[in-house]
Amino acid sequence: MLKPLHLMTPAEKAALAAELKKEAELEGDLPVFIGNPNSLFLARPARRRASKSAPGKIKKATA
Amino acid sequence: MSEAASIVPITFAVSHNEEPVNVMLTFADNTDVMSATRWRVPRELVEDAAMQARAADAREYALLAAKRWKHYRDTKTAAFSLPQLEAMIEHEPEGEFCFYLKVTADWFPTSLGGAMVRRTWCNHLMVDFLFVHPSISGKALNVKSIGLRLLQAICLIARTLGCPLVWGEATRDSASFYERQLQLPVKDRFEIATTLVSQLAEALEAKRVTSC
Repeated sequence: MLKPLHLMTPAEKAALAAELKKEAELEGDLPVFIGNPNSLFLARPARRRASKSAPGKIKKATA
Repeated sequence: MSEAASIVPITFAVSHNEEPVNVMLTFADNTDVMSATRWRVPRELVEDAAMQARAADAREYALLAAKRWKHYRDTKTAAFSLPQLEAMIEHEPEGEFCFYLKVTADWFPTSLGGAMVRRTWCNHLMVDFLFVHPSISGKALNVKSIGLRLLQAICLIARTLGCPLVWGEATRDSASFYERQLQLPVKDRFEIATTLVSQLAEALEAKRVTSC
């Protein structure tokens, strides 16, 4: 865990900035997308199976 | 406070114009998801066709994620918090549930990025969409590491839920990103198994900024 930015010394902030820069280089020049916009599944999501309700007693209606 | 309730939201630092700034990751609600559908390609990218295309892609992903998310919302299988997701799983262990993560900052009017994730019937997490704001993907806004932190947060949630696997589809453009992050060969599909899930979760915890 890191301490809040406003409590960091200038040296600590600079070290964090350097660390983030290094990490960003690893991330690369990418928009970072997952997923396939061409997927047909997107247009029509799978139907969920209705969950079975627990069997219960059927009460007769009384007049 | 339960363990799940203490995990999200997560505050962490990202690079904005090469300076560290705080952002917050949390579960999105309906308003947040719909807000991302109003994202636009920044006007300043009009001269740069390549960046404009990237920004348009980001917008399209946000729209598709919202479209899909609405199905889960309407079938009452979307979770709006981690404790709620845990409760849904407890009630229906083989149910398929969806959640949407957003990253926000008090210095930006809308979310900086998001991810639509499904918890499948066999307790895996499937990343349907992960995207950043069109201004970031089009480089009109110099913010880094939003995508990486979203991926790490998904792994943190997977670890909390005891999910042994996180998987998703990689595009031609993003496959190399996952190869670098996961240090595994990736083509059109990536799989993050238990050990790596823990590593990525720990990486985010190390970057977490305390609230006081």
